[in-house]
Amino acid sequence: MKVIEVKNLSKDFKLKKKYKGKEFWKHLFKKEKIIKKAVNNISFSVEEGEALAFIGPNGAGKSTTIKMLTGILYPTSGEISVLGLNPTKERAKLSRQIGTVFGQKEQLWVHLTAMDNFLFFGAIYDIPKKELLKRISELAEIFEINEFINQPVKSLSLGQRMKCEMVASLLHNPKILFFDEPTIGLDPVAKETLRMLIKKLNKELGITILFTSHDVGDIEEVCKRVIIINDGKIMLDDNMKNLKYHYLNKKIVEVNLIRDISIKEKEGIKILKAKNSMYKLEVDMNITTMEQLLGLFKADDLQDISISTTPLEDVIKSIYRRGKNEKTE
Amino acid sequence: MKRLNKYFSIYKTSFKQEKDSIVNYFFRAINFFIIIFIFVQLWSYIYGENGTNQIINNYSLQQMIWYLIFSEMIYFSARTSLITKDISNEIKSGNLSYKINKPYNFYLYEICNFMAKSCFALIFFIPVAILIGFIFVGSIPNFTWLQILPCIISILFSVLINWIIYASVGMISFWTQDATPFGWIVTKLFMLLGLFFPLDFFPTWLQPIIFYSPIYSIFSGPATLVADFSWDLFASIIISQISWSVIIIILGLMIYNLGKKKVVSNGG
Amino acid sequence: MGVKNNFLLIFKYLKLNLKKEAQYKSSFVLQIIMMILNDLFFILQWIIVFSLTDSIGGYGFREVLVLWGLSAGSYGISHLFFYGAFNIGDFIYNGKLDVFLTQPKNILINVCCSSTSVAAIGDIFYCFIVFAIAGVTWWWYLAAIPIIIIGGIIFAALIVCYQTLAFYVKKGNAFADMVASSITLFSTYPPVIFDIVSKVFLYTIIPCGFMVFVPMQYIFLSFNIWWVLAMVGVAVVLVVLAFLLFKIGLKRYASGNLMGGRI
Repeated sequence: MKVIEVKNLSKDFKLKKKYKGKEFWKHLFKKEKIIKKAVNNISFSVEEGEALAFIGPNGAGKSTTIKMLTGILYPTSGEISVLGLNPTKERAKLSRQIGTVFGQKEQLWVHLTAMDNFLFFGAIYDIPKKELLKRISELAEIFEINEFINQPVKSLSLGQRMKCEMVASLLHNPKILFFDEPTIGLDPVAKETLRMLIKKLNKELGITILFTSHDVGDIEEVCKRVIIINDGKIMLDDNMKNLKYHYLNKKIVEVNLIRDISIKEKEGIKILKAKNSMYKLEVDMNITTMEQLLGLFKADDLQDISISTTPLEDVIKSIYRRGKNEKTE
Repeated sequence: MKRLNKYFSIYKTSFKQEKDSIVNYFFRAINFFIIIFIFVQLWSYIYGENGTNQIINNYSLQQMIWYLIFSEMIYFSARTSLITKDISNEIKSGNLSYKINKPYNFYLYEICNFMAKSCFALIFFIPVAILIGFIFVGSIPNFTWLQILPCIISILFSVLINWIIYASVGMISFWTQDATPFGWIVTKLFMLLGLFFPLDFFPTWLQPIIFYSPIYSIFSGPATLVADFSWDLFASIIISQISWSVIIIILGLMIYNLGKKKVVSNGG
Repeated sequence: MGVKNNFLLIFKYLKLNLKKEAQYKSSFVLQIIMMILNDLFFILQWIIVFSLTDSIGGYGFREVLVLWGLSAGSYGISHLFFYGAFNIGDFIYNGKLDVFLTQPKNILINVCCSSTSVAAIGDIFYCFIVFAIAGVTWWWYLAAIPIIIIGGIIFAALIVCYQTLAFYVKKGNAFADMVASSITLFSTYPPVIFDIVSKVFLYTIIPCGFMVFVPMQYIFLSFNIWWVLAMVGVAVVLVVLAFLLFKIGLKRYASGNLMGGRI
């Protein structure tokens, strides 16, 4: 069953040009208007139980899309159906069936305890007290927040806060959960925990999840499907396997050896930089394996090693390039 | 001299910045107009009830209204309600601990910053005040062109003294959570004893107390100077203004230095 | 479900807001006491005025005190329950309505009740303090309660109407702030001093006449049921208007073209 259907969705913003100095007085009353296409004719659909990520750099149109799906913004043109409802017209009805977490906008009252907050949100969603308490204790168990549930939110770490935000958005048992940049500003450990939780929600509670991020790491573990968006357009709508095969297949490996051992290039292993005993290598995981790479030197010689994926910006660049090549071919 | 250049450029930058909030100034001008309008209605009624053209406590209706227009104008230009809050917020938010390490004196920096805003406000509000006065009661009685410069000088001093007092109140935040409620009380005291009524309206035992207090330097003095000018009056006002400026600046710097130590030892 | 539920929500919000503020006990108490002191200063102002004249068009010192009490009381109620109403423009500019839009409750009620001013409690106390100073009869205290509640609703609803300007123009909230301060100014002076033009103004564009002058004149000084009903009627009309204007403005908010930066 399709829970979200989007057809030819577009959103334009009219901006007023800003003037400085003498220009400011000249254009005090008459300002030129600029139209920015934040979302430009996108279509996609989401099946029940799916976990879908919206990936793209800042200002790509991810948040705008989520805001349109939840009824905060009205689209300029196109059709949206979420759980069979039109978010623009049936916002309040829809809000009882979806949950939202905005990484940059807190819903919680920071001066109050998490528990106070949950009770309050329960009232907002008209959940009977008995049911609410049961729900809170269930969620507190899953999210492991029992030890700080009675502390003021402002005394919690960002990661703990985000957990509480998520619990608050799950109290009314939503069918779909929207996350806008949930991992923004979190440290790596907190990020990892949060990703695991999102995965758990999707797998164990069967909640459909749609979230945005500009961090490739977020999608690798959590999602089966990814939509990459840039300049308001969908660059790619594919499952994780394909994406990994085509774009995230290259790892950057930096090794620091104890002795000066020379490493030779092999098929699928390219030396980007070599300086004394330090090497920066690009490893194509489709051609070779990590085992092959590690076979190049003895484990005893290794002083330090770091492995990283290609940054999102580079991935998008290569998608652009592919798109162009396909056209010319 | 070079050290002073720095403060002059702070002044210039703040002055320029103030231009951006010109729309707010128009709203404040309307507010100003409304306040004066209410005063005019109230005092016309009081003067009217006791027979027209009469003098109450040495003030004709015309002089009374001009007094109120200028005392209110000083209140508006001095942005009294913001100073305590601003300083208090700087301290509470911990912003101050960053500014302490900059190569300028925070206290002097804030004076320059504020005087720039107030000067901009004065340039805007003095014509507005004069216009409103003409609309409601006509010209200033016994006006001479010679009084313009002394009046402006004393108004500038009044705005300065206003700031240094409220800044000192704001610095209570070094020791308590929130200084703004103290600011309210000071404002109300000033309004009651200076802004609303000229000196002559108070009981005789109270008059010398007000005369020797900063309230006279801020409100009663300059506003009386506009409504009923004389060189003797100007001399007495300017002496009181200069003395209070010196006293309160020294006091303010002392409070600032005490508070600064507290911030440094607490690490912000 | 609708009305009763939203009504309960108002109190739930207030409880939560006060719980939040009460965490800083000393500041909580200080704000209330300072506000009462602050208000008391104006009594001295009137003592000086009344040393010049015995009465202003039938308003003696006692009547002015009661007028002040009603004005402070209405102000207090509106700022205690609906402080958010005075900051709607700010909510609009900073995109803070987003969170409320993802919730199923009425957005205007949510926004209005989302914060409180502790000092407003001082204003409400002050209302009854000046009644005591004026030495009024017992039923005036009782009558004051519904009067300041209706007055507070009139004030808040009116400000909401003006704050919705922020949906359309950039400095809309500055204009609304100006209206709010004019209302507090006008409503503390005896209505007799105002000429006919300003009276028309005070009963239409900024209807603080209905907030304070009507109950003073037609409940306390004399009694006229039609004026009392008019006061209630104005409150109802303004509330309806506030909801309507907010709803229309919200459509513009949802178009996302307000500030430009809010993408």
